[in-house]
Amino acid sequence: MGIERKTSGLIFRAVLGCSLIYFLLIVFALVYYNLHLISDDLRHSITIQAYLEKSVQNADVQKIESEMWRIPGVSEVRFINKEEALSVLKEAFGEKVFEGLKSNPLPASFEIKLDRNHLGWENIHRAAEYIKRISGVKEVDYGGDLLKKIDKIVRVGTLVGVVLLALISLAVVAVVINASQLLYYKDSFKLGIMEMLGATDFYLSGPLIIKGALIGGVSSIIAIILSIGSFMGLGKSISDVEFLPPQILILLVVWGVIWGAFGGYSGFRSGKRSGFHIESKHD
Amino acid sequence: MIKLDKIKFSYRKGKPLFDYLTFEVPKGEFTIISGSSRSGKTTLLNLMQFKILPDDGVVSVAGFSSDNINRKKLTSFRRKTGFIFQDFRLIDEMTVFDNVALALKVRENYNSQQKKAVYKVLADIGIDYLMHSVPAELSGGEKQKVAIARALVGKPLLLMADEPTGSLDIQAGREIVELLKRINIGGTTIVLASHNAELFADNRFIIYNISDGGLKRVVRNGH
Ligand SMILES: Nc1ncnc2c1ncn2[C@@H]1O[C@H](COP(=O)(O)OP(=O)(O)OP(=O)(O)O)[C@@H](O)[C@H]1O
Ligand SMILES: [Mg+2]
Repeated sequence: MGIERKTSGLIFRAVLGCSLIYFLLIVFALVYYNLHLISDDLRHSITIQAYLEKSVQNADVQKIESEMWRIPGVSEVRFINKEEALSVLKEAFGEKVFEGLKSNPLPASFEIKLDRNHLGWENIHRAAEYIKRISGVKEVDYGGDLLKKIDKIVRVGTLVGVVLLALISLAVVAVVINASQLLYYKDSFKLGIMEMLGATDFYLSGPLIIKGALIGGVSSIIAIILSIGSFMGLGKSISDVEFLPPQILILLVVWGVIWGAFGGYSGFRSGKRSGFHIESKHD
Repeated sequence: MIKLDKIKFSYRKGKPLFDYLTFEVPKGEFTIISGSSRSGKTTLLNLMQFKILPDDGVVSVAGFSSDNINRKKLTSFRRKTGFIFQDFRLIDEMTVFDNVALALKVRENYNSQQKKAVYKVLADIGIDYLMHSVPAELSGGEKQKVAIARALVGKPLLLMADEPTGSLDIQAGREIVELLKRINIGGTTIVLASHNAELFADNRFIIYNISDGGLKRVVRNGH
């Protein structure tokens, strides 16, 4: 009947609104997730190069290495002697470039890697500072600036993500509250009578909570399908972009259901505060 | 059954409607609150239903008090009290049977025994032949009987009625009053507001007249 049709139209509009909002969230999450993957990759490839003084004798090398192992987070220390350093360069630029050299001008060095838990900029920076202070070490080199930038981007991304998640949850709740208020008004005569007959708020709000949860859940699923669709549609042009892992998608649906249910209940409460519309004036 | 103790009440804007009103409805009686339009009959009933709370004084009804009423207690109060109104307040999309059964369904443990209670109250009131009809197919008097059945199906000790005959013609109005009288004889305390005092010309009723925020017992000549 008329009222039924209007109610389904209302739910349809709410689902549409929430789907679009969730779609935006997924697009952002995708960007953030890939940024994270890239930064992780970069972090793993980062090494600290410690160049040694010319005066360092072979006997001191061991001592320097054992000092390096004492730095927290160090997972790999590799010694590169002068010859090895030169051969690496030769390989890169060709033998000819180095033909005129009488002696090897390159210093010996250490290549140090940190473990998984120490790949943040501060840790690498701190480790580099330690290494600098070891006697026999002349110079330390690491991708510090680059790392600092990546860390900053990830941190800003996280902040934006948290804010966006909060805003989007709010927006979804607002849409669902609005829809459930309207559903409430449509039903307020009936709800008012049931209240008069002794129905609890729990009983009265149940259908609205369920509708809200459905709106939230269905919208997030639609948004996921939509984003997978567009992701596959874009195909090769974004072939090195990774899609969100299933756990995140499931979390999104759960998130949608929870906030949808909350919106349904809030709509009930605010509808109720403004009163049931069963009083009619007869004077 | 109902006690209003030094009630003070005013709507947000305006002078007090009731200023230290004290009033009592005895158990088992059929009390009429009569009075002209806008004299405050509905307001008084709303106070007795805890729909509004007094600014001062205490309303106590069936063991519930305006001093400590809360949402939970209000729900349990409503399950123990029946309400009927001038406009019937039936749900159009439901049959007569479902309208009456709703009063038990909202109590969350609707079962076959309660279903029997619905049949019984419909038969007692004499409208069982209407149970598959919807409100739109009924006369005003029949609709009010359905509303009464709904109010009674939970076996309340107290029935409150606001202008139950206000939308009915004289014939139907008298029928409703007779029905309510029968219910009262069966043991249910009734409070009824009406501007139509002639319908209650019978010494079975305790009649009050409300005017200028005060209630006066009406004593009829010859009784
Ligand atoms: N919700 C309200 N807000 C403000 N004033 C109100 C409200 N309800 C009633 N009033 C006023 O309070 C007074 C008493 O109203 P009430 O409805 O209690 O009278 P009544 O005796 O039931 O009238 P009637 O016979 O027309 O039903 C009137 O002046 C009315 O305008
Ligand atoms: Mg009134």
